[in-house]
Amino acid sequence: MDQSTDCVTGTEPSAATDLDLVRLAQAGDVDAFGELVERNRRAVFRAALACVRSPAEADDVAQEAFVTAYRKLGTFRGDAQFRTWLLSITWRKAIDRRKSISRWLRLAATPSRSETGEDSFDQMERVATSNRSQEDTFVDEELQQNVTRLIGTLPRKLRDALLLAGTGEHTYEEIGHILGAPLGTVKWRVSEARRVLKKKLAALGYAYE
Amino acid sequence: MNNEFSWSAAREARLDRAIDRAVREMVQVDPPPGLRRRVLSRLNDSGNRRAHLLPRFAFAAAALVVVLLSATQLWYRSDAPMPPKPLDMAKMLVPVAIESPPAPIEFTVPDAPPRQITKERIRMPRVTNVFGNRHNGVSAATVDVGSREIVVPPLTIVPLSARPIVVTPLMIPSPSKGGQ
Repeated sequence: MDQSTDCVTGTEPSAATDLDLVRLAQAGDVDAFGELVERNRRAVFRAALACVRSPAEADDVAQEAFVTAYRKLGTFRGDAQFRTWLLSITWRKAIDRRKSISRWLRLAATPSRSETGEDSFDQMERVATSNRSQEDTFVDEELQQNVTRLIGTLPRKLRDALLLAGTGEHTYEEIGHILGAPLGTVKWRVSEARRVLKKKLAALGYAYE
Repeated sequence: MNNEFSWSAAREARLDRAIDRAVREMVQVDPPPGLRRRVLSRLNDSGNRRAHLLPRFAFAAAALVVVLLSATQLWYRSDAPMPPKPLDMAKMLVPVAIESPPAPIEFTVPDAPPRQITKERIRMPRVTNVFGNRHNGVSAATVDVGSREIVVPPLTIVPLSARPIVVTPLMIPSPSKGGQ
């Protein structure tokens, strides 16, 4: 490892920009790429999670995305931000995973959480530890479960935008780049997703006018 | 009215909070520790695996090329007849002793004329009578050849792309005494 690499990856890892690290990684410095992984791991993982909605699968997707990015580093010219480029790769990998037949088979074979009784146990535990009145907490928990379930019934375009916006890691511009949609469209999708959710909740008896 | 409005706003705010919380719980999850280590180890593994697989792939590709070439050779050898060389065809002609031997046929490959593209209209010659003019000539049956045998030179038909068809010499016996 040469002196410049030591400087970037060893003593002052945060001083170098992403582009500097990319240039080093393009020259074959794996440690520099490791630093890029460290900087972007949360954004990549959460983007993958927004798509596949399973932490284990999101971890797989994140690894695949980083490996693919490393192999394609030669094609990165620095026109866009490395992070945006990486998130695009991640999203494509996650979409591939979401569409894969093996995943559907695995999900069909796995019993749902309600069948295993995990939800009711977690719910009782949360109720017991809450400071609020038990009735209020129970109603909130039920509402929460319904919201989570209804998010799963949203159209994919609306759900993807809503979940990506909810990660707290991505700006609307980044989401637009990931989804290949204009900024205004992304904002509309998020707003529409919330509106549809509230409408469905109202149909379930949760008052909304 | 203010109370109704505030109640409605409060209910909507409650739903908004529920949505925000649900989304947060779904996606605001930190990756499992050691992602960097796993990625780097996968990079190393894939590099090593590629190094191991390269000779195998090369060998398999070479074997496949050999098999394909062999199959292609066999296919063309059995299927497509090769046109005979002009020299071989000349050897196949059997010289026949006749009174006036015809000039030997020489098979030569004419030089291909240079291709020219013209836009001028080429008129085909107009054919009026394909059978020629009628005349009172004699036919071969009326020719008196005496007692000699007529030996016809072998007929060789050279097709365009196939092997030559050689017809054996036709032997015509001399006419009998009573015949004409």
